Amino acid sequence: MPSLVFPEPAPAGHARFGLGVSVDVLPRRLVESEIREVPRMVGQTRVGVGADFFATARFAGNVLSNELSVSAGYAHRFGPIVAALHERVAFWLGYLGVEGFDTTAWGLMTMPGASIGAGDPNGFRFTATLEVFLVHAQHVRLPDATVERRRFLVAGGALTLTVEDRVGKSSLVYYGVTATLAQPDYQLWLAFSDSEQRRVYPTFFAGYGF
Amino acid sequence: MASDLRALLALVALASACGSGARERFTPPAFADGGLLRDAVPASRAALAQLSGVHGVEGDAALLGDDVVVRAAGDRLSIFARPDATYAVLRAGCRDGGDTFVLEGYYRRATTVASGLVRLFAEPETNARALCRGEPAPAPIELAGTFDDSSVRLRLQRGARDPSGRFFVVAHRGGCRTIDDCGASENSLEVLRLADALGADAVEVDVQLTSDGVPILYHDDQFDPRLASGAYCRGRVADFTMAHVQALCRLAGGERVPTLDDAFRTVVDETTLRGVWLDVKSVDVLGPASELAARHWARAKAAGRDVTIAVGLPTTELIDAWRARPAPSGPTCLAELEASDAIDAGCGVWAPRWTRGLLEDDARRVREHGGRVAYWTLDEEDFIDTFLGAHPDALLTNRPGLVRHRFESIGVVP
Repeated sequence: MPSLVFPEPAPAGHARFGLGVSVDVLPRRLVESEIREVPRMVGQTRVGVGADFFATARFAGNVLSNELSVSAGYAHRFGPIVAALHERVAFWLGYLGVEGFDTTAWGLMTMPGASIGAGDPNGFRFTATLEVFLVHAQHVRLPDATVERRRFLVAGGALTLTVEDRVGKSSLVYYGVTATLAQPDYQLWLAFSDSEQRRVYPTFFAGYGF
Repeated sequence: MASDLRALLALVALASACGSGARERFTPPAFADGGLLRDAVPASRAALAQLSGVHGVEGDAALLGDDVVVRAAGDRLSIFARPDATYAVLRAGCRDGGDTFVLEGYYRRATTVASGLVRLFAEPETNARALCRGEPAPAPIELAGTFDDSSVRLRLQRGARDPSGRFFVVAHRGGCRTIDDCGASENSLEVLRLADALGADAVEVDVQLTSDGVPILYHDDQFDPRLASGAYCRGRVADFTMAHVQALCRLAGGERVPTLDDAFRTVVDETTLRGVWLDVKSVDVLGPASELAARHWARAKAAGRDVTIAVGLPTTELIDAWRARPAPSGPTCLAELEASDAIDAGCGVWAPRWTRGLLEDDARRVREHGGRVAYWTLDEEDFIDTFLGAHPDALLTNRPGLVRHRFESIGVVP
């Protein structure tokens, strides 16, 4: 069974599924500009496809702000260290349908990255992942108008530290933190913040792998 | 399990280290020695008015773009550019016996934290002499100088699109929000004094009521560290008397919390602003705020100032309360919900939130009944452009300089 995050090469067809929750702790500047973040449910899977290649799929959502992403990567072991290069394509969809709002927004991003892992592939293991956020298109639909932004944007990046530990015979728990350095509206573009200053904020996450 | 715990603690420590940190505060930069204006004779308003309009830019395009809007506001001259919603606030003076006309001040890139010093000279010298004498410049207007170390030259291409002032750029929370760090806290007298230099024709201010019935400018219904400072300035605004507010509370930038009465005096007596939008936060404050609005509207009129005052009605409860009262003389109401509310209540302004869309059919109905249409709150250039396409009478914004630039570029005079 492969890990959810640890980049140990996995045999073709071997898959791991995970379910968890993540929450951003936004900087004061973003909270004050009326962006609110609520916890997201996270479902993800990682599957070996042979020849040390792997694929992942991930969904994180809370109705207001939802991300669906797929990635492909290549992993290789160098003695006690395992390393991987990967590319993720993410589609963001947001919806605000409360009083005074009737707004849908989406964005398309790619996230090239690299991971390094260490530890026991069947026990306690630690993975560091670095990704860059490249925004390709953002779109907002209002009831009678649409606004698009199609310019390419290097919106920031993130460093994620993940701990996975075996539970029982073949399950695992995972938890960790992501430090994101990004423009406030890199995911969705609902015009609540026009600050282009990149800000650092953590995201905490935890879950269970089946 | 011990290794799990150690790893978890390490991750939490790492996350804490990259936390949000302290709030940054913007202080407008100034020339250390007082600059060239230290020994200069202040320029006349008539001279500044000659510089107003759309200027082509030669120099660092990444800094100012292809063109900028130059606008005189009282004894200040402002420059508004498209990249990063950049604006500059300058003062002007004459030196060397009237042979040199110099402008000095600061610029700020509103969507980032960058700022710096600006020094420009009117060229050619024949223009400088004429401007210093308060006479029409004989040659095409040019301003040449530096934004920090970048050389720029501005050439006047045309005058303002809307010299009669039918379109209103309305600055949110008195000029800028506290988080925008424009050099003054939101809803302060200081930000009201800055608002026209930031590009505003009018301001929106938030009105709360103290326990002894004094309308004050404050956005939230609670005093807390988000907007206010003071160890004992915590709790519901409605639980504080005005004396307590004055004694215990300061705004985030250290300014005192102003009364609505002071705010009206500042707008009428110390700015070139042509409008005030009162965002009334409760039914209780509607009466006192409306009475003050009527009194200061009359005072402004007597002083020869045409100041539009609109009392915002964001809820059906407030609309009902407005309709139950005798209409004040002078000020109008501004309905934020449905167009029919504005029409039925006889409001002069209908102001829907931008997230509802352009609502052009409703806007047409409001105009047929003699009303004006404003959208709130638009800060992003693409959204501003989209909503300017609906030919509104006003846009509420946290980026008045950017809206001013976009209006001059693509706007239509309502």
